[in-house]
Amino acid sequence: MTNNWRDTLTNYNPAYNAQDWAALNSRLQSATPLSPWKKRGLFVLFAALLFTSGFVVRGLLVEKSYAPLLSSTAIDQSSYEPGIPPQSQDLNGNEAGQQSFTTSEKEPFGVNENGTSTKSVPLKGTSEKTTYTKLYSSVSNQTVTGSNTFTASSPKNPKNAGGRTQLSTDQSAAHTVVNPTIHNPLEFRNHISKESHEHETVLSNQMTMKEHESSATVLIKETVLATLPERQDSSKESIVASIDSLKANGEPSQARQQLTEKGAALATSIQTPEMTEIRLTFSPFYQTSGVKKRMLGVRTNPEPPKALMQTHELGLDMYLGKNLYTGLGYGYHFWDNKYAGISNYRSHAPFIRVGISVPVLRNFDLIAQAGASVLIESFEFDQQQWVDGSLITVTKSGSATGNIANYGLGGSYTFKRVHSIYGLLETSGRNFTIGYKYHLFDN
Amino acid sequence: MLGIKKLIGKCQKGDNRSQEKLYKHFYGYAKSITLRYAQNNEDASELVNDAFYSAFNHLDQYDHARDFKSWFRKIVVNKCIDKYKKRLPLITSDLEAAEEVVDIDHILNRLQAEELLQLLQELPHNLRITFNLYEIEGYSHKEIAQELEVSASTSRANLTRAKMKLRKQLEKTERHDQQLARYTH
Repeated sequence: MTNNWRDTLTNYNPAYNAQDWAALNSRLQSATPLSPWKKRGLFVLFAALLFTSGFVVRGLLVEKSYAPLLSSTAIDQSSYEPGIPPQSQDLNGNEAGQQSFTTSEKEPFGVNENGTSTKSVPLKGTSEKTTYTKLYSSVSNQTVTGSNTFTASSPKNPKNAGGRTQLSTDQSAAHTVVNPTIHNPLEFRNHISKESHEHETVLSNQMTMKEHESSATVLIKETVLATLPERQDSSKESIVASIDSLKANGEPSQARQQLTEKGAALATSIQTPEMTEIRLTFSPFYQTSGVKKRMLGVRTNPEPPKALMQTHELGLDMYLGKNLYTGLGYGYHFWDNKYAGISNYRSHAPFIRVGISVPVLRNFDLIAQAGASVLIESFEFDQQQWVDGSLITVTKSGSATGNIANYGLGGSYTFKRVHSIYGLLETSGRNFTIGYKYHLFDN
Repeated sequence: MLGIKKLIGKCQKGDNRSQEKLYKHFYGYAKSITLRYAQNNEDASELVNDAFYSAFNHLDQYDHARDFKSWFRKIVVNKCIDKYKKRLPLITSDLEAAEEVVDIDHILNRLQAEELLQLLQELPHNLRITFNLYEIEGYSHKEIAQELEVSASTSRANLTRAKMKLRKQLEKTERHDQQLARYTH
């Protein structure tokens, strides 16, 4: 019976315990490469849905903002007949149409009665109204030609974003550059909208002044030709032909209708809320952190240490309205060895967030934000414990996944229109985060 | 044997059901090893899972020409060693004086598996691991010294100590049993 005890031990077969398999299985599932990808896939799907819903909300908002304007202007689309042949291109090579018309309608021209002034005109004030009236009466019979002459940089043009709207002739010194002193986009829009309706009214009163028409048409024609020396002859000919055609055939009522309709369209477009603003955010800074237990797995949690956690986040925020934004991104967190006693902590955290950014000062916004992350983390740390009467250090490691929600409150400061720095006080183990945002575009 | 290889093949592809089958198949085998090294049943279960987890994640390194059981056994034993390696207290050379031939086979042969395991689990980590590696796994003192990062003489001393402790415990248990028998009669 030599070595019998060895055989006894090696042949010993403990009973199977299904709970052990359950524990291992959950560990395998959480660590299986596919599983995190599935989670990420779901996350992306959710984010896509969020974005889609954002567009739906945006669509509803746009529709809502259009409705009262359309009803108030009471335009009968079916009765619209252009009457005047459309121009192929304006001076900047743009297609003739809404934008150029919008310009002539939206912006007060600085042209005086002699047709030579190039002054900038503030939007508000009664003295300018006279000028507008004369201008619009001059334009009344040559709407399209006027459109071709003046080119607007609308807020949709990135060059002109940021609350200022410019009107420039680009090629011509004889035409005005309007640079309103109003910096608040919303105020500016409201103002423009109001002015637009006023112009319309004044215009209608002036439309019937036939004698004015002929002299104004000549004036415009001369102005256009005089101020476009560098344009090609074909363009000049086209403009002249248009003016002549308008003079010969155009009905004042048609021109008026056009102006009315396009004026309404302008009013509608400038009432549309500022919808799309995409911001790239990057938070490369240290964050102080009180680590939550659940961030460190289930079975072998140490007491939450205070630690400095480095977080690198890259996010994309889309503004659904003027103040409401939603975003998604990816965060990578790790701790320095010297803090927390955690020798190797890495966390990958795709996140989504929703926030409100409210302007309180000229360039300063208050931010309130809520977010959710899917943490996929791995960690290793040393834990001291008493074993057999001696204090020993045990290295523990593992991985875990979890969901975490956080809330933040802070502010952002925007400079040079596209650059923002921001700071947030956040929950969920972070105390403070600062970062940078770049506005990809806005309108 | 063919079935196991097929099962391993499926496990390599990450098939969860096959993993469960393989787990069931080798659970007792793994647990019987970890019970000898662990301090209690919970630790033994944790070691089993650690070993399986490692095995599942490194199945691509398994050479199908070799016996899976041997490959897996090596993983289990290594997991046990790793777990307790850092807990080993420093052994000084004066323990070498304790080396002597201690024969406990004849006493151990009388015990059941559960009793044997209980005895082993009462040993300090370093002694228990050395005893297991030498007496059951068949490691030499040189190999043990390499695994545990101690000297070979320390390994020998630990083995002697382990046997002495086992003998003391057995004697204690026997005395206790005799007293108990006297009282009951």
